Amino acid sequence: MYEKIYAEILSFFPTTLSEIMQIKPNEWEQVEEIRIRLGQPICIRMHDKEIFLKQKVGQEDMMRLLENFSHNSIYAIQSELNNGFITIRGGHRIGITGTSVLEDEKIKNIKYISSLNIRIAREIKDCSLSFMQYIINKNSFLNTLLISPPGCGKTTILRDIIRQLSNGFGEFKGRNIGVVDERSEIAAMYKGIPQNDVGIRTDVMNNCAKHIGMNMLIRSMAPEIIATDEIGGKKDEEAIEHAIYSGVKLLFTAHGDDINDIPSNMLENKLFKNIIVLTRNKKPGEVKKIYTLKEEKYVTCI
Amino acid sequence: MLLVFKLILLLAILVISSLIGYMISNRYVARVKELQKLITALEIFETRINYTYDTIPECFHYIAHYIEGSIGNIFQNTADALEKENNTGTGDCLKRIIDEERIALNLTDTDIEILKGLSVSLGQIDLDSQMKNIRLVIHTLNSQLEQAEEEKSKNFKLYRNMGILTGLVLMIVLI
Repeated sequence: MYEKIYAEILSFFPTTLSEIMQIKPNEWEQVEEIRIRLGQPICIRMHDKEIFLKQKVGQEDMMRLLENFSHNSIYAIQSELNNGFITIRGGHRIGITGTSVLEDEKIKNIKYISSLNIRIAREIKDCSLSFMQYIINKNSFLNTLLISPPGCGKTTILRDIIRQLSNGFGEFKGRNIGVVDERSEIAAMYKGIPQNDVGIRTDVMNNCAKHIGMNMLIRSMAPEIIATDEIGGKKDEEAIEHAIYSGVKLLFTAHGDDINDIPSNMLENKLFKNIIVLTRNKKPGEVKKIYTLKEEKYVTCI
Repeated sequence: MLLVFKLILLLAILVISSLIGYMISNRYVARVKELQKLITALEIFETRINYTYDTIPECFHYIAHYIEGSIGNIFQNTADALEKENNTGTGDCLKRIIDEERIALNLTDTDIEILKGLSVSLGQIDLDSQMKNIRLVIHTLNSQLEQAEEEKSKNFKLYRNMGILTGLVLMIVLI
């Protein structure tokens, strides 16, 4: 694990921030976030504790880090930067705050970077095994939505479900899956190759707005199932409707604490057979509730 | 015996003098070729960042694949250095590599200064500003190319013939 984090994240750190290398290799297993704030020591957040390094981060270090994360090419990450985060090789998301430069009410740039939050992405194979009984019925897939607040493992579980559905699982024969990976977190594509295992029958539309990617995949790749992360916008709803009319099955995630946090249209139209709500009371990926559609109503089965 | 030795010496003077003339004249040709390669390289760079949003190391590797010689080496070595080093800005890295390759280049000091202009804010600005800077460098290099071609047509034959003539004059004087 340390080797992977080193190759994907720590190798970007300038030598002026080398203190981070003093964290023991076995502790990297637990790291969830690295928070870097200007003028403050680096904070390494683990599952059950936080470590603050002694060294304080300067403006030069911030710019150096951002340039290194962009492979010395800020222009290449400009559109992501304007959304407040970038995704690097391995699917790790780096949140950015600073002073925004506006043009026509849109963020043109972020200057004076004040904080970076590196969220470590992890691929946990077979973490979705306990969900499979709810989302497949013999050889058919049931439209499913995963809901949880941030940090509860939605994307990790979604990725594993995609892999299982793509490869085949028990009696369920593998299907062609179209994945719209807007933030490169699901497949973590690098130069056209998924860095995470998303299965042998999976086509990935990377770094593309969800509604555009869904329509493109339906037209071009004829997927049997479409999967994407964090749906919720008005345009997403229209694309989902288009997918349903095209006979495509749905596997999505959304931010929220419970079923009432998702757009009301989706509930009224009964788009999903199952809605799985996740939490992280003891550990990420715990099931809080599972709603299933019975006689046109969502009822809890867990 | 002495006559043979004298003849060999005179011939050697003629050959060396001609070679010096040839080398000086050849620098004018080489400069034109290097400027042309440089302009092509920067046009590739401009296209790559505009249409594929490739990172600078990716663009530079791509350029080095198509542009041979010292100009290709500048891009190859800069890309390699950027991938290895975490403490140097892209512009500083490019400037350092240009200085390292300087001895192998036939470009003038002005050409080099213009090329170094590419390093200003390289990799630290948005796409539009990056493109503007590349276009400015290409535009200025095009002016240098025109001047280099004029100098070549004026001086290439002059220095080549001057080398041979100087050799012949020296031979006559020494006979």
